[in-house]
Amino acid sequence: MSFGHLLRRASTLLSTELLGTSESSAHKQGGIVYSKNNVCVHPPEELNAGKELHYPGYLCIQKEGGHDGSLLLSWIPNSRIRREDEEALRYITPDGSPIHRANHSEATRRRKTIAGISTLTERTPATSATNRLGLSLDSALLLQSLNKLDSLPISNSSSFPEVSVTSQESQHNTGGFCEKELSLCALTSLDSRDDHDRALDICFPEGTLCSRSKENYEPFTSEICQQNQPAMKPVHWTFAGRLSHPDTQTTGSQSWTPSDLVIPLTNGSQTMHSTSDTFDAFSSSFESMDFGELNRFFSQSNGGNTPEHETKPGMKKNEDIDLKEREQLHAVFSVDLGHMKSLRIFFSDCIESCGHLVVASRESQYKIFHFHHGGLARLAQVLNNWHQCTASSPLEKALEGDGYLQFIIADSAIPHEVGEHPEEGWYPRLSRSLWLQHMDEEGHVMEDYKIRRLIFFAGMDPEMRGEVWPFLLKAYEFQSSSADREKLRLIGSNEYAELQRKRLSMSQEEQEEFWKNVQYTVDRDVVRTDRRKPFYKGEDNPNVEMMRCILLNFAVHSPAVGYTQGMSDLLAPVLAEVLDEADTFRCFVGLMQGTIFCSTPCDEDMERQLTFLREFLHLVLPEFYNHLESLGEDGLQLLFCHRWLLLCFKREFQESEALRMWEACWAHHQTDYFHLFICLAIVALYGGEPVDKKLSADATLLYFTNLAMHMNGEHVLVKARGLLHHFRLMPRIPCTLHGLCLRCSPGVWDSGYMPAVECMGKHPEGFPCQYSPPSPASPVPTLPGIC
Amino acid sequence: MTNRGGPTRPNGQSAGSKMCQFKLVLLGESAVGKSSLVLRFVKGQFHEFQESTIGAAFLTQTVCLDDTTVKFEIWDTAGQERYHSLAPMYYRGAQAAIVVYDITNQDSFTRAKNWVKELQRQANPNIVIALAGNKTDLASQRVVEYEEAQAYAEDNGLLFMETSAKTAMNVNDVFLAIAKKLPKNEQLNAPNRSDRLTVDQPNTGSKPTCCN
Repeated sequence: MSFGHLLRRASTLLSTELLGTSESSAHKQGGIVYSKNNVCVHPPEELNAGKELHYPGYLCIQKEGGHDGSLLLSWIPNSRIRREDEEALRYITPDGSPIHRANHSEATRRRKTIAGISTLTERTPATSATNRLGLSLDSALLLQSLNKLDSLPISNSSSFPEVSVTSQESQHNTGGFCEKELSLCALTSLDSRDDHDRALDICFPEGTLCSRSKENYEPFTSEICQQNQPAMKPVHWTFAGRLSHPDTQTTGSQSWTPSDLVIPLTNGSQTMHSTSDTFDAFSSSFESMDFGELNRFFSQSNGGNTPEHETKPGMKKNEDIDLKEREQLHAVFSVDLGHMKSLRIFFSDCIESCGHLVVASRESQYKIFHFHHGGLARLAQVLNNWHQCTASSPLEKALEGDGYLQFIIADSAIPHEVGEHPEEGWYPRLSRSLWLQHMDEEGHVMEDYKIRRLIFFAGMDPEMRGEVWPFLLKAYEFQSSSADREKLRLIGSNEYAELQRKRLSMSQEEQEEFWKNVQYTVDRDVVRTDRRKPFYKGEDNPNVEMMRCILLNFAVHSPAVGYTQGMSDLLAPVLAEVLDEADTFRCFVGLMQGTIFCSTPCDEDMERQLTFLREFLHLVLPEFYNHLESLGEDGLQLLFCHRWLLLCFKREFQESEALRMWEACWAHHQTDYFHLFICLAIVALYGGEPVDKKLSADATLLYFTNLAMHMNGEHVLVKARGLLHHFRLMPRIPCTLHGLCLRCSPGVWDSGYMPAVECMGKHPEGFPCQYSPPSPASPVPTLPGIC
Repeated sequence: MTNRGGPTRPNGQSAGSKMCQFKLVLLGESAVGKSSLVLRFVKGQFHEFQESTIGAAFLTQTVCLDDTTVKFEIWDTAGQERYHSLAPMYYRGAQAAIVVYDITNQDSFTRAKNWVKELQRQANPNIVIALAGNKTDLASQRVVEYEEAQAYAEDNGLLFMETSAKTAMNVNDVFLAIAKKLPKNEQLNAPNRSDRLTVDQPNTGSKPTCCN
């Protein structure tokens, strides 16, 4: 039996089952209102090495709730679907589908939690997606057949056409692209079940979206044919530098405006492009293909020559780029459109309904989806009918006119006061099963930003700390394999032994110097660090000696840093979790390098932190700041928070809460300065009294000292996350806080978080501010007071 | 909490008694027992493994001296040399200082002498300085002789006592000796400070109310 037959049979069985059982589900909870396969994300310029690379995926929009519900947009990279990734499959088998029905109650629960950026709600242990989907034998059959295709030997040795397409490239390449599209369609064919399903029972209150009759379905084959026409070649944009939308042009490196991008529309009736491909159409086109091509196809899409593997071996990309690539190109992107700022549609070809969609978050981050194969007009219509947004111009005008359409989303949900982070409470704590779900069979941790986000919001089970902390502390890369880590461990262990040997073989003179500068204090500090904790309790506890050795060896390793009081306090909990001496040493090195809170009061680091904090207070808690300012020089020294910063709140909160704060800081989610937001949160929650009673600087210090161990760490963390969210929503920030945003990773977005910056003046002479305006700056709006 | 805004606000003392308030700073090498001395004086406690002081600690204690109530605002500092640059912030405006060394550690005595010099040079000119040789409970390991320290103290016009935070020996005495030596006719409020709020017992302040 040919493969086409096999697939067709599978599809027939599948659709019979689906159609037979789905009538009653009228999408009371909403459902998929739009879906389109092979919507591409293009890597940012620094990742594509001059080539235009396509990362296709499946884009779908689901309606949340009933009539007034929001829309949830998800984009699942084909690479993830191919991998039968559980998370990816969850998006493409929505609740309404019978396949999912057995899990309906759980799915509903999950759905409730999804309200904005994609969530991690896996609570079930890692199960094979195939097994889960095995509820329907036919779908399992389908997957298996696809898997078989993957494993078939390559029968045709000719090299596969490049996936990258540039406008100069020949028909050959375009053809290659089409083939690729077909394969990806095959792989996303699971979706088709849903489309079948919805083709009959999709139900829109507005009625206007229910126009998907059979004749609107355009067989997939026709799309392929179109692809082979030169006129249909995808149009590619290269964005120079950072993106910015036209009405918020910020600093001047970008040169991107709609008129640069939009190709004038040709006249002619607009085809309502089918947004889904019927399975039959798919399988017939599939059948007509040469089998050898198919094999090439799948072998290629299974890791041969796909864009994600195009990095030349031996070409070492830096870590940031790796991270970006992982997050932007291989991560499921899922947002609640109701929480976005705007959506823009740029038609490059109205007849074929091609172009791109730009999603802009309220934090002014962007994600661009390229529709090379139509579907954009229908998307525009879906959005046009969505009551939460307002179109800048009538849809028809955009289609016939400039090809540009903007939807501004109602901002009624924007909080006017600092409230909780909207994602508060969405994520479960990191458990072992969740952790394992994020590891592939070789031990690579996939989508680490999700792990980090989860840790940021919900922390981790205490028993996971020993395993996960080394990743957070950069002792291991998330993307390393278990084998890599074993190797690293061995190397680390040898290096540590070498350090120890070096320390013990110092000359008499060196030894005396070392004793005076380092050892004397270390010896006195280790015996009084965390000695009440079981791990360090008792006389001659070997763990105390281990802590001592790590500190001494660290001083040998980093003589410029040496030992500063407070280090033992930071090390002790890490050793108590990681346990192994050499491993802990590497974690500690990471901790010292990566964290900002470990510094001495005279260090520039500490001063920088305090400067940020002062500016923060000025911006967010002006009453408190004014109070400190009225106290003169003493007040703005912020003596009361020196220990907070130096020990990262270890002595301010019960250990369990303090360690949650450490983890939240180490997660580097959206900011590298989360500890400052925690400081701010403490002041926001507990700083009312010093202001009300006009406490002096000394009394303020005393007040906060007395609060130590009596504050509610959970409340503080919630507040800190809310403050971070609020800060990121600010349209403009003062130049003095600009540094806070520099190191944020863009996450799943195409552009990083970078608000407009405004010069506040107050710069020392000879240090002009790059944000200094030609005319006097208008004052930065302060946030509404918190108290 | 009592807001001591004026001189006629006794705090459980007999009516008509004088109230004096002084800022006192503790200085000395790390791990000589500064925090332990304060803890003993303020709370009557001793912790074998008193954790190192990071940043600044601030405590208050009141002592009665004849008809005068003396309130100490005690600034406890981190001892490590690396934190030295912060010290002037602490001793600025201090009327009294206790410079502590460990009798089992010669270097700590040297360091104490350096602190004395710095205070004499840079602190309030009328500052009352006491030298405390701590850890007399470890007499068997003594390396700094009593006579040597006493001679040094006399030469420099310092109060001097050997103390033990562990056994409480001379701890209250050294604070009392300072209280006696401090001029009682000084203004109640420390220079440049007004509307001062003090707390008699640490951790007794009512929990602040959340402002949200």
